[in-house]
Amino acid sequence: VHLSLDPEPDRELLRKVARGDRASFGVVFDRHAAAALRYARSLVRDAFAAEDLVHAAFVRLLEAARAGGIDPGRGTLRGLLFRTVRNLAIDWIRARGRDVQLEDRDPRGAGNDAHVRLDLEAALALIPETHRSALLLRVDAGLAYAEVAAALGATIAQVKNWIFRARRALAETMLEPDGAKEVGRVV
Amino acid sequence: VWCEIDPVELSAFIDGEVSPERAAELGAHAASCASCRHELERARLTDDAVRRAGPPMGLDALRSSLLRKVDRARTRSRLRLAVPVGVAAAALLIGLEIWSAKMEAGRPVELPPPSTSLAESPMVDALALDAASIRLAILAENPEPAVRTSLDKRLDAIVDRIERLQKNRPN
Repeated sequence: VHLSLDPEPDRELLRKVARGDRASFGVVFDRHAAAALRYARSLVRDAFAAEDLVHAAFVRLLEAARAGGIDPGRGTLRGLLFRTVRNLAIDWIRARGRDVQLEDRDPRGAGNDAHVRLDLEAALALIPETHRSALLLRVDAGLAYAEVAAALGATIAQVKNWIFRARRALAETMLEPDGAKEVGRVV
Repeated sequence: VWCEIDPVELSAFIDGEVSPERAAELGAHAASCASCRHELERARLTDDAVRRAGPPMGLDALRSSLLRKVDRARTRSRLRLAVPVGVAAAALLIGLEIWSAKMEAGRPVELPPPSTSLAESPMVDALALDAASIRLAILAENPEPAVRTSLDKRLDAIVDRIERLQKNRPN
């Protein structure tokens, strides 16, 4: 009987998944899938494609589980999962021949009223992709800075800076819908 | 009044990505710094907005699809395990059946001379293989009583046939 209140580590769950334990897979899925799907949607902006990407990412996780688990040198399960989602998104965009990288779409260009409070998705779309990814991976997915850095192929210092900038940009867009800019930290 | 605290560091503080000592310093500072409290409150609101994003559509279907994949993988894994185990068990049972049939006939375990072996062993061996298959099915599938009775009858019939062949064996 598992009496500990601590959640079972991903790596242990993955070992059980390798033995065909569907309940353990359910726990892993419930722990990470929603954030993974939101992240995928933020990257490809296509709900169906995002589902496909997350599905493929989890399938790779299953394959890794059956192949003996994740090499600790490759990081954590969640880090690997989100890195996989991102890499698959890049492949998906390339396969579609889009002349874009994981870049940004400015909803203001679509005629949005800057004075209207933008919803989160639109606000996130205003942020450079790396900043948005860093914020989502940290705040929504719960990755540590080192995991975010590994997922984005960046340094921890970059991640720290991107998350700060993303927070500030979101605050300006969502909390100050009249377009008021941060005027410095003047009291 | 500009606060001297680096806002990037304050953001990392929110994320628990500064040392415990530095976190204590920043916490103490923020308690008396309206600017930092404002910054922290803004960050909390934006983070809350990100976390409030509900479960995305399609999540349930995705979960079901992946669980089916886990189930299929488990089934394939069991089959992969079952086949070699079954082959090994069948080989063992076949060996036992042949050995048993030959022993009951009072024949030494060693290979018989070619003259008798060529005339009789192929049939005995084939029947022993049938018997082994039935016994394996009984062991592996634990069939319902009615099926079990039917399999037992077939097994008895095969054993009788083997015995008859052995009795009629030319010495």
